[in-house]
Amino acid sequence: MKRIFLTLAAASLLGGLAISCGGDDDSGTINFGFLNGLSGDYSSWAAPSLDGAQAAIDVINANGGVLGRDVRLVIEDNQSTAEGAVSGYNRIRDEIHALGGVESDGAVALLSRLPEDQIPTICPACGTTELDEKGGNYIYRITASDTANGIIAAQLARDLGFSKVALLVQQTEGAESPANVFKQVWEEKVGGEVVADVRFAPGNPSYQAEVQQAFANGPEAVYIGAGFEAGLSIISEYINRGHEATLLVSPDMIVPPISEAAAQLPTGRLLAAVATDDFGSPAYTAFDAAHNQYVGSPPPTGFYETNQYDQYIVLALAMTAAESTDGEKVNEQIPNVMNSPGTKVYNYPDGLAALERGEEIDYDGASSDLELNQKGNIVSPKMSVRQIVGGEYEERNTIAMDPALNPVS
Amino acid sequence: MQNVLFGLTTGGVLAAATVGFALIRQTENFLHIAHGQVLALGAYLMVILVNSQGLNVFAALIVAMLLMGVLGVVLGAAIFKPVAAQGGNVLLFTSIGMAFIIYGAIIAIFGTTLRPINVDLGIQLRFSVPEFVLLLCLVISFSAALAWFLNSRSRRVEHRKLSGYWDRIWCAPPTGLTLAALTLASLVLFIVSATTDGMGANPDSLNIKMGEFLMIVLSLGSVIALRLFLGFTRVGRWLRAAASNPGLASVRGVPVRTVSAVVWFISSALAAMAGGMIALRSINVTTTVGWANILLILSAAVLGGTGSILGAMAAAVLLGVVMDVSILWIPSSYRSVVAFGALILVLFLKPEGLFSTQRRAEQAA
Repeated sequence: MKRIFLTLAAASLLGGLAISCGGDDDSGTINFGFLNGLSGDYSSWAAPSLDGAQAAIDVINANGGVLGRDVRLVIEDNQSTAEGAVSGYNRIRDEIHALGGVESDGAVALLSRLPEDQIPTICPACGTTELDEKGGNYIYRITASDTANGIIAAQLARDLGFSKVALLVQQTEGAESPANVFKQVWEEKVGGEVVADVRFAPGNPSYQAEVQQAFANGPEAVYIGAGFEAGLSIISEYINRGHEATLLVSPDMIVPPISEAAAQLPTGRLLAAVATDDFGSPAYTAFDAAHNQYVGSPPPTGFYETNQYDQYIVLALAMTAAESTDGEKVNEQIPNVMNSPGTKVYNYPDGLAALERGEEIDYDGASSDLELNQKGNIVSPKMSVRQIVGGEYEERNTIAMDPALNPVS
Repeated sequence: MQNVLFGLTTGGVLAAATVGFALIRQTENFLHIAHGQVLALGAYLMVILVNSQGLNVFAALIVAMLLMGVLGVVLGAAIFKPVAAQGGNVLLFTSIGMAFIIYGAIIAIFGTTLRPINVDLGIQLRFSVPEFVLLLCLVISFSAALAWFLNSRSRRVEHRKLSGYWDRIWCAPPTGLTLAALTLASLVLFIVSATTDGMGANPDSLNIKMGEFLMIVLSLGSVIALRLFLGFTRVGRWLRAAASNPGLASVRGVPVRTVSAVVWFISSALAAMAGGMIALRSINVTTTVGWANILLILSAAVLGGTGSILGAMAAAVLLGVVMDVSILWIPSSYRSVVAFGALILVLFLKPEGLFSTQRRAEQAA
C-alpha cells in the first residue's frame, strides 16, 4: 500500500512539473489565454472583444496555425476586477503559452507574475499609467495609455473654451488613472480650475449625493470617470436633475447602454476622447474581411475588437519568429515583429511568408501602426472625439495630441 | 437638505428589504444572507418583465414580488426547515450556500451583461426647505405616534410591566398625546405652506422625482401595513407567538408551518420590492446588486435591533441618511465606512440595537 502511494505521489509530482513548466513543448495545440471581463464593469466589451480575438485565431489556423500547430483560445473571466484577474490567471497559467485580453486592473495585478512565469502578454485595452514605465518586459500594450486619454480629455475641454471643470470619478484603477492625468494637465498645463473633485466607490445603491456634489459649484464641464454600471446611474441622475454642464466621459463609458441612456441629450452635450482604429490601413481591411468571414458580420467600432485581433496576430508572428513557444524567446521577438525596420506586413499570411523567407518584419495592425517604445507602449496612438447621435456613439473628429500638454514635458 | 432627501430615498428603498431580513431573523432565528440574492432575482424579474413583456412597471413589480414570495416559501420549506433543528450556524451557512446557488442561477439564466431599464420617473416634485422640514416632522411624528399606539396596545394585551425610567416616559399617555398633536400640527402647517406660496417656488428648492417619492411611500407604507398586520390580525398574532416561543405556540394550536410560510412569503416579496426599486433608481440591474446590498441590509437590521419592525425600518432610513449626508464633509468613497462606523458606535453604546424591544421585554419579565 505504501509503495503504491509513493508511486502515485511521484507520478503526480512529475506530471505537475511537466504541466507547470513554461518552457518549449513541441506537441499539441498552442494555447493563447484570453483573460477578460466577461462579467462585471467590462462585460459590455466582452462579446465583441471575443469576436475580434476569435477572428484572429481563425485566421491563424486557416493559415496553418503556428509552427505547424493549431492555436486555441483559453477563455477565462476576470470579473472585471484585479482579484478576478489573479484567480483567473491562476486557473489557466499552466496551460497557456501566451496571454491576451487583459484590462488595466488585471495587468497591474499580474505585473510581477508574468515575468516570473515567463508568459508573454499583450494588453489590448490597458490604459493604466502603471504601464507607462513598467511595461516592456513580458507585458506590452497596444492601446493608448490613460496618460494619453487624460491629456486628450483636458485638451478637448480647453479647446471647447471651458475654464471651470469638476471631476466625478470611480475609485478603480481604470477610472482613476486617466482622471488623475486629466486633473494634473488641466491645472498645471491648461491653467484651468477644478471646482469639485468627487471620488466614489462603485457598488453604491445610488449616486445622487455624489452628482449633487460634483455639480454644486457650477462647473462648465464635468469629467466622469466610471464604469458603465455607475455611469448609467450618474447619467440618469444628471438628466433627472436637469443639469446642463458638458459631460466628458472616460473610454469605459463608450458603450451602447450609456449612449442609449443619453440619447435625449443635445448632440455635443456628452463627449468622449478615445483611441480610434486605423480605418484606412490595409491591416484594417484584412481584419474587416476576417471578421466578416469568421464572425459573420462587420466589426463594430469602439470595443477594442481590433486590438484584440492584433494581439494574437502579433503573438503568433512572434512565436514563428522565435521558432519556439518558449516564453523567453517569444518575449524577445514581440517588439521585433511590431517595430521597424523590417518588411511591412498587414496580415498574418504575409507576415508568416516573410518570416519563412528569413526576413525581419514590421507588422502594422488594424488598431494602429503598433510601433512600441522601450517600455512596450504605443508611440503614437490615433485619437478621436466621439459624440452621441440618435442614441449611438459616432466619431465627431480625430484629434492629435498637443505635446505641450504632456505632464512630463 | 437635498442630501437628506437623497438619504431618505436610499434608506426608504432599503427599508423594505431590511424589514424582510429582520422578519426572518426574528422568527426563524438566523441571518438569511441569501436575502440579498432574492433581492437581485426580484430586480432581474422586474426588469425582464418590463423590457421583454412590455408590462407596466407597477404590474411587473407586483408579479416579481409574488414570484419571489413563492420562491421564499419553497426555500423555507424545502431547504431551511429540514436543517432548522441544527441551529443558527447551520442555517446561516445553508443561507450562504443558497446565496451562491441563486447567484449562479442568475448568471446562468440572465447572463453577466448589465440589463438597462429606462423608465420615466415622472414629474419633478419641488419642496422649499420649510415644507420639507414639515413633511419630515409629519412622517417622523406619525411613525412615532403609531409606534406608541401599537406598543401601548400590545403592552395592555400582554400585561407587560413598565421597565425603567425611559419606558415609563415612552408609555405615558401624555407622550402619545404629544406625538398625535405634533403629527396634526405638522400636517396642518405643511398644507398651509404648500397651498399659500406654492410648493418649491424658490429656485433653490429641494426636488425629487415623483417616481422616487412613490417608492418611498410604497416602501414605508408596506412596512407600516405589515406592522399593522402583525398587530391586528390573527395571523399576525400567530406570527408574534411563534417568534417568541415556537414550541409553546405549537402546543397552543398556532399553525407554525403556515406561519413560517407567511413569513417567508412576506420577507421574499419585500426583498423583491426593494430590488425592483433599486433597479429603477439605477436604471440598470447587474449580477452584483445582491452582494452590494446585503451588507447594508444586515447592518440596518442589526442597528434596528430585534423585535421591532418599525425599528428596522427607521434604522434603514437612518443609515441611508447618514451615508448620503456624510459626503458633505467626508469623501464619498468613505460613505460605507461612515455607515458601518456609526453602526459600531451605536452597538457599543446600545448592543441590543437602537429600537430593540427584546431587552425591554426581558427587563419587564
